[in-house]
Amino acid sequence: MMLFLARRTATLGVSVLLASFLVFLIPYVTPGDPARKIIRSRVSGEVVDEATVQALTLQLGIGDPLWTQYLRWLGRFGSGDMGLSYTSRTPVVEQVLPALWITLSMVVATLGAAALVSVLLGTAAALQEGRLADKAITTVTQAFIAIPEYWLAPVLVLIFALKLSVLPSAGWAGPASAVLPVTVLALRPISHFTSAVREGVLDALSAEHVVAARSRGLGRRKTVLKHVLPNGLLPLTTLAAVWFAGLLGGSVIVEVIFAIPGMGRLLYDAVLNSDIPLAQGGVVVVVGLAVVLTTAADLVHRLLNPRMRAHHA
Amino acid sequence: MRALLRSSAAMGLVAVLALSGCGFSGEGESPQAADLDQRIVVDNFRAPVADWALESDAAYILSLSGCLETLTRYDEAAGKIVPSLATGWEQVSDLEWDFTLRDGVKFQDGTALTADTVVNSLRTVLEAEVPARAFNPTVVSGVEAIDERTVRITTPTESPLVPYRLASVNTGVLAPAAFEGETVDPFGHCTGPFTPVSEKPKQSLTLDRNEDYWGGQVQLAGAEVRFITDGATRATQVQTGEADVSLSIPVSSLSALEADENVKVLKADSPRTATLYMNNGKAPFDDVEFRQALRAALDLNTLAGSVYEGAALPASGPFAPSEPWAIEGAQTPQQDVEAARQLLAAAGYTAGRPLEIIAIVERAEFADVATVIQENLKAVDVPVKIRTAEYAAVEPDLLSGDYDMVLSQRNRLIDIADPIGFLTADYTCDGGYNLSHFCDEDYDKLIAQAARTADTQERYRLYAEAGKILQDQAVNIWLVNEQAIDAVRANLGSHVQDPLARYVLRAETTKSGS
Amino acid sequence: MRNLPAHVLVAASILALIVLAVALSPWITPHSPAAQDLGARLSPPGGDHWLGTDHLGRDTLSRLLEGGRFSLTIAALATVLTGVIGTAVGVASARRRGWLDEFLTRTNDVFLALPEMVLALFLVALLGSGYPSLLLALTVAGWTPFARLARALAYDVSARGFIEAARVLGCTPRFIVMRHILPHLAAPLLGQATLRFGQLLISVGALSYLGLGVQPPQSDWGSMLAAAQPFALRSPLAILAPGLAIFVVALCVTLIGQHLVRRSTTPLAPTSPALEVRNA
Repeated sequence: MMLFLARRTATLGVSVLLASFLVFLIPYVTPGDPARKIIRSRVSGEVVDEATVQALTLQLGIGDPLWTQYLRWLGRFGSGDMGLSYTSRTPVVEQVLPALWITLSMVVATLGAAALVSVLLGTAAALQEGRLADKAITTVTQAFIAIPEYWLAPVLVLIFALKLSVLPSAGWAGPASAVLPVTVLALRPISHFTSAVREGVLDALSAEHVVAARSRGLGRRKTVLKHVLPNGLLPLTTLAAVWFAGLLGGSVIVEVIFAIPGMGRLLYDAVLNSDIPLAQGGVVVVVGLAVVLTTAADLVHRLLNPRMRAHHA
Repeated sequence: MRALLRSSAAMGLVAVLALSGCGFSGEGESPQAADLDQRIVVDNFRAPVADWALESDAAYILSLSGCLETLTRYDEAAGKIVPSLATGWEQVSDLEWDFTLRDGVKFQDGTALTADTVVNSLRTVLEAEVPARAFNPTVVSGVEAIDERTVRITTPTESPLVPYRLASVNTGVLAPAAFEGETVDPFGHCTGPFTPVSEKPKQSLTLDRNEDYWGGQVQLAGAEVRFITDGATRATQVQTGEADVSLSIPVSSLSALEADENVKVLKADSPRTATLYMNNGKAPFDDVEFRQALRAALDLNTLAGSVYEGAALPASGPFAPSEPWAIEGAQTPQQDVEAARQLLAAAGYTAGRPLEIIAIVERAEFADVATVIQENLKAVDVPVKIRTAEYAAVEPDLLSGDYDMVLSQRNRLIDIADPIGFLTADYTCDGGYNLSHFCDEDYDKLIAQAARTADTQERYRLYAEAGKILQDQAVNIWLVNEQAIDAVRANLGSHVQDPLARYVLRAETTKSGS
Repeated sequence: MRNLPAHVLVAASILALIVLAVALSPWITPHSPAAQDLGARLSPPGGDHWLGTDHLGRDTLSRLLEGGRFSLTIAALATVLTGVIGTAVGVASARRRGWLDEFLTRTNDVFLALPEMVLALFLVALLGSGYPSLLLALTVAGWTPFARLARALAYDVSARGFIEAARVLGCTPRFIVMRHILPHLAAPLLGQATLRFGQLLISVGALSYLGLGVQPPQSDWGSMLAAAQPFALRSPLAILAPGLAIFVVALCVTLIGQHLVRRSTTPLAPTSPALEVRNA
């Protein structure tokens, strides 16, 4: 286990660097001059003054060889400085942290809601195994995977904001504004979580100690609460960790439709504006967090499933 | 949601600016109905990208928020420059202009407005890394305080346009304290009717009434300006009442808003004309008859009525008819398939390779416009294919002349309320943005003459004459004149639409209680 | 066929019907999908236009059928490409083990964490919009689940006696992979591929929706949805139809895929949960 941890930590650093380098290349391989893109993102209008372009190229050092620029960035990053955003000239950290905070709260709300719904639905389905309720729950939650969010989101806005005027159509200010985006984001996790909970509860129900408890005359309700649920929920913990990682930068469409300035939106804008330091900082944070979370999830998973260990032996 | 591609950068290109004013002032509401405790929400189409740097487009946000004010203002209705923080100005020599400051103006932090504070603010903009187009070292060589109340602006060449430049929002004035930190801090450092008090980065700016405003009692208690880049969302929010003012409404949302009795839709001509640029330097577009043939083949009336939902008018040439330099007697070209065929034959054109129209994605409707043009040209046997692309990706090809046609639009008045910059950059032989690769001696002479002409009427006449050359030679096909469309809640009072989206929150703005 | 559950049978029939209609679209569309009638924009469903017309007066049904060809083809191609690449990486990872395995697995983690849309935007900006870049973007972003599954399965198979036996008998590694490992992976990978097809169909739609895929006047379901959205209140069917098409197809393949996965489930070691998540 210690070896596993050591290897993971070492490779973790490498993978984050890999990601940062990939992002670093964006403005150099995409068409259009980086300096012009930066200027356009600051002042509107099509005509760009040639002298300004040259001055900016020199000042930002984007005319230097690629590797020089990358090493310069790496050196600063090593000392905790993510640099200044090209477009806003403010520290990247100051932009990444608020965005990260918004995305984190959105992801936590999404996964919390998804877990709650899934535990209820999954347990109900397992307890009714094979009956109509089970089939209904299973089919409906499976259908959730197939709903395109770019379709559901506008339709929900149409109904709840425009027709019924009960929820805000956009923004990120308070619980009411979170309802629609969280609903849209939670559907897919609910689908996966429900089936995991259902399987977990079914396994637990057939486990020896549960059968024994039942035969000792313990009530059905108590058995479920005391013995079945704790085991049934185990798979959810690792699943949630992995989903957490996936949602960090994966909610671009929802963030855009609902005008939420989270990480997905930040990265998207940064790529479009050739704001290299911002894109790099953002990607390193997202990928770093995601990799740490995936590692943690795998770790928990291995502890729970000793057979996996053979794979890394 | 193509709007996704409208990043804040793209939004810059798309910024709707316009020329003539149009407004209403809360009919049927007596001034007494104004409720001094009301706050309103304004949905703006862009977010500040460069923190609050005045040389960036963030200045537009500070200005429409009623925070930032300039020395002069361009009065849309009167069509001239009027006093604001400066009460008067005069040209004291060929290269020097003196501006006299208004007495008794205080910044929101209590500092007095003096020549020194103005010079400090203007110099910051002049020395910026990426200077504003309206106010940069190429057009302004110096800013200095002559005395307590007089600021002198020096230009490198004689220019009648200096007062126009000081109406640009980029020349807004902030107190010295705003520039003490690493970045510009406008909070409490403006002169306007509203004081910014807090911001949620990339989301919104909250403002309170400036109790001590030089222009009189401010009616609203405060406001929130939200940055909503998606047009459909802005339209939705003014319908639901989440927003009281939504700027720049997409034409596709127009009919829904017009049907809503709680919403008023305001429209004004904009200095933007959707244009089919043609590469005059490349066959077959190097033949004027071929270009005229394409123009005759297009049905601009139907285009304006369908894709633009009637919210844009078919264009009659490079200028909108309401502009003071409009070409007299200009008519919208009518579709004439027979004439188009004859012109094509005269040009010796035979259908060969499909010609490519590039539709830039920053404007969602251009893909549809291209599709309609494609059908129009199919009727005269000119095969066309369409490519959508991000503007930045195709710009090098456009500038180097490696393209057939591109659908784009451009703000004629991007820097100042005068089209000289546009006419020079876009159509003179050495123009820096001559996408059409057009070059005509007579045209260049007219523009050079206009640049030296101080008399406004004479200058406008020269512009019109130059515009006529462009139209006669069918340099491009000007499709429709776009309109600036804003939507406001019906209970908003004394609101005046500024088609340039610079002045939205004013001291007079009111909202009646609901 | 006989032991197929009813819902899978229904899903398969609907899917077959849609695929057939879409495949035959050049011959059966009632109108030309590109023909405009600017005088009859956003008209409601009626005798001539069963599903009404769009904002340029084009027949919605015809465009739906034509658009389906692009959506389904791209999703299918992307599924095959990601499946082949992912399986190759996964099996190589499991067979070689050591640093290569570690490296490939970590690369996998990075790709899993990079937002798909940002990656796609990058590639489209690089190569220009259009189907080739769309396909490449989906492939680059989508190979990871296959690699994870293939790796886990290959590990498990390799641990069994007959592989060791084959090695002892002198079989070449290539022979072992081809004859012993891949056949054992086929069934679960097929299930995974079916599920992925549904998710990729949604992703294709998402990228087209952002204007990164199809070029006008052609359309696919995602771009139709985007184009119809501003007119949602005036012509609800124009936005419902393409969304519903994506949903129904994705749902059918998901139901079929889940059946395949369940049927192929051998008592394998549990795989990492991460493969569940692509497309979040």
